[in-house]
Amino acid sequence: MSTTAQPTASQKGEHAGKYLTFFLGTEEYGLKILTVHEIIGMMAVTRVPRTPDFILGVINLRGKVIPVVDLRIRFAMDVTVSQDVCVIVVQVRGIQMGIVVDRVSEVVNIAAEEIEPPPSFGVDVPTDFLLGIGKSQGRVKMLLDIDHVLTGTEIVQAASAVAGSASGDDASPAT
Amino acid sequence: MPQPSLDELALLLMQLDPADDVGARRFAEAMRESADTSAGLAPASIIAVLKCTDAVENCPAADREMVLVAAGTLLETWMRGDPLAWVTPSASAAAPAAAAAAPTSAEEAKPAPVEEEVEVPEALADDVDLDLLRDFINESRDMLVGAEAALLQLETDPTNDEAVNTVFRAFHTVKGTAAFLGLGRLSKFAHKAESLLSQVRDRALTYSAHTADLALQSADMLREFLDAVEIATDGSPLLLPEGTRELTAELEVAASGKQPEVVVSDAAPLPAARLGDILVDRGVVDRATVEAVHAEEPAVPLGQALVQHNAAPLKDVAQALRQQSQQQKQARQETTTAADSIRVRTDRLDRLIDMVGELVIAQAMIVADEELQQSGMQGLTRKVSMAGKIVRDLQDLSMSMRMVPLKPVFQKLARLVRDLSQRSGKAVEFQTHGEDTELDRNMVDAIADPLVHMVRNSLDHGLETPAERTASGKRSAGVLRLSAYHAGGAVVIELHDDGRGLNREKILAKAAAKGLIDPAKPMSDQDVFALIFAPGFSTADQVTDISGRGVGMDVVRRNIEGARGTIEISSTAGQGTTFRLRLPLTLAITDGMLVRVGNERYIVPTTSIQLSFRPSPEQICTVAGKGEMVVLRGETLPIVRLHRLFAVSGARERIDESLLMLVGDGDKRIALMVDDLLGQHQVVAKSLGQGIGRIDGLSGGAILGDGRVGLIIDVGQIVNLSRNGPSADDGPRGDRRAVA
Repeated sequence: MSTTAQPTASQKGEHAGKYLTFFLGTEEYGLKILTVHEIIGMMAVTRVPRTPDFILGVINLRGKVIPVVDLRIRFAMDVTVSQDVCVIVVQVRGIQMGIVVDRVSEVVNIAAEEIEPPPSFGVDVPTDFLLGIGKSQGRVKMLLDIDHVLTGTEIVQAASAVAGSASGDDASPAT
Repeated sequence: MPQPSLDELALLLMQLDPADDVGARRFAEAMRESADTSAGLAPASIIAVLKCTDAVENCPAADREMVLVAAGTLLETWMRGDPLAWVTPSASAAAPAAAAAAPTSAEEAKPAPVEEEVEVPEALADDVDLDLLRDFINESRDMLVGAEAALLQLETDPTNDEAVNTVFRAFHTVKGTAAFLGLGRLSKFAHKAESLLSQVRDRALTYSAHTADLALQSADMLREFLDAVEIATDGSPLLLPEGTRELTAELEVAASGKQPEVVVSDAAPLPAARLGDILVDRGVVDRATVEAVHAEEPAVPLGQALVQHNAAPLKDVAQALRQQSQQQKQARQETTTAADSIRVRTDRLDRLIDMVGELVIAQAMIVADEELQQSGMQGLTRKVSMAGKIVRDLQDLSMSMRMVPLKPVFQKLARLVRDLSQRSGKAVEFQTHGEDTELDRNMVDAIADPLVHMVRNSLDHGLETPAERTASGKRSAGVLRLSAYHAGGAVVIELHDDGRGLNREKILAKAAAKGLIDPAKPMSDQDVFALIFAPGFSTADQVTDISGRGVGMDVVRRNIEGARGTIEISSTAGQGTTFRLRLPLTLAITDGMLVRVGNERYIVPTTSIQLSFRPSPEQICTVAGKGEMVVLRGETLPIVRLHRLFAVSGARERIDESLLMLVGDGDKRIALMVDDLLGQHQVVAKSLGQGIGRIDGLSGGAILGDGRVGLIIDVGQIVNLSRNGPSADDGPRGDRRAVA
């Protein structure tokens, strides 16, 4: 997965493929299908103190404790409550994490020529968490660089820092 | 169909002892039977089988080994369905029975000089079944572990036939299977080792210290062989482990009986259950008398001699004899009661344990279901509760699955002590107690290396040389005692030596020289002893092969603490040192108190709660309007509001309406304020997922009865946090003292 903040035009070819799209508010986003582990309904989240707001807390994923991130808070968007809210469990670099989204949309195939590099709005609107902008069936989908989104939250970094000395529990690492 | 019976034949063959006439006949009969019953066997092949059975039955016992190997080759060809041919093996000439199938059988059959073969690396046969090979490697390793344990038992009781047989069987099975798999050299070496043991078994050879060395070395060598075979499974050449030739030669010499009997010196470990020792231990006679009597009449059994000399009353001798035989019986039982086991991958086991946890929660949810409760369906309710019982049993079982006894670790250490004591010339009697104590497997893994280090250390620094010991009036053999037992929800492992003890002055001098301490400041013994855990600290006068390089004890402490354990030292000069490790039963299961704070629930480890109480208003006082304190039995403790620390809304604000929990230890005690205690639970501690990392004040999470995640509080970190964040130093303590 690309670790550069701004993919260049020559790189966009590698972003072509299947994406799971979902809505955050009225905006449609896409996640590379290979990073998606499963989609589950919203469940009771245990808040974890002393963490940033956008980390909603932890949930019990069939005996495994995984953190849940609310991208709407992360992107400073309005948080609405609805029946459709669900959690997409992604797996990045062996780490499982849940992402709260307003609604899951569909799985689409986006070809290389349908992907444009992320636009630049100056410093006000950071776009470095995007792989690019995908256009499919006449709609615009923001393709998320999930690795970068989560790295940006600095929780992944925190995790790798403690991974070596992780508390003796080995029940949780992803298989 | 012939196939299953061929497998059975192979099994029979593998287990066949060349010296066992009856077994050989049984094998031959079985072989003939399957030749008769299997369809489609060409007449020539049937003749080959009959020739083979003839040979197995009628050859002299000494040659049977080779005949059996040839029979194995024949069986293998048979299994492949190729036409069979029997070539009578002869002791002098090579007998390439079915060269393609067993490229090493030729080598196996001739007693060729070792020198010729060593240079050429052997390769695995092309058609060898890799799965079979891997099973063989694993099984053989297990068997060698058992053999090693038995060998160590022989150290203390050289006449234990059961132990000799265990070792013999292990070597023999390795030999047979190796030959079957075409691993000629391994099989050959195992044969040599086996011969040595068979001589011991038949009393043709006394089990001396030298024999013991050879047998142990053989076990090691076989293990190296297995490693080599494992490496070779990917197609690389099978290399002979270093030193094979030398050891083989030694084994040959030893087995031929030419080896001069090595006098059992004082340095060799003493048999534990000698009659004289028992009597001396019981205080019936003193050692000098026993030795004198024994010297006078070496031919008469000691007990008899003692009674004749009126050195000990008949009654005591009889008692001692009974104790001795009981100990022997016990030792024998221990070897035979090894539980059957199969190997399961750890991740599967963990997954199973997780799933069972989920099942328990799902079951609890059904029981608590309102519709079910209001339905009044008696039958259904009864069935649900029955299922609940099974689920609980299942949970108990799953919790115990990761638990393994400490025995293998202790056995490894016994071997280490033996080797070290010989190398250092110190006589050591190694005693173990409570080796059946069970611990979580991860825990056992975590402490294995530190224990090795501690044992080395005790042997090298703790125990004196025999000369020094005799000079100070001790028995010349030092005692190293390793014991394990349960105490207060934890497992305690003690390592005690009766050596010189820690030298307080020496440690202090060294620490001062290294600038670790201020020599002017008085220090308690505990603090002084704790210095040996400082990095780069060693008081050994000499750096030896064994230890004393100054790395080690700090690593030991780090590892133990990493496993959430503690380590303590107590020591008396001249009488020995005891290291006491206190370890939680498992890394995963925590006994916790579920507490409510506002809308949140947290788990506080029960071990860290000393007391919980509802304070009366008079007990509460404040410092400068902010710092809240509670006075309990004349002691003043700072109050830490958990809801403020964790920013929980909806919690009670009034202290006298809340509960205070006394947590932490020493001068780090605080009163943690919570709303309610909800009850005690055993929870499986999990990390909060790698994505979230470590949070100050929390040690992890656990799935609660309702399926939600509860967070486990790390009391130590809470104490630190409450002192104005993680970086707080001793500052606030001063304030407290001023008020108190």
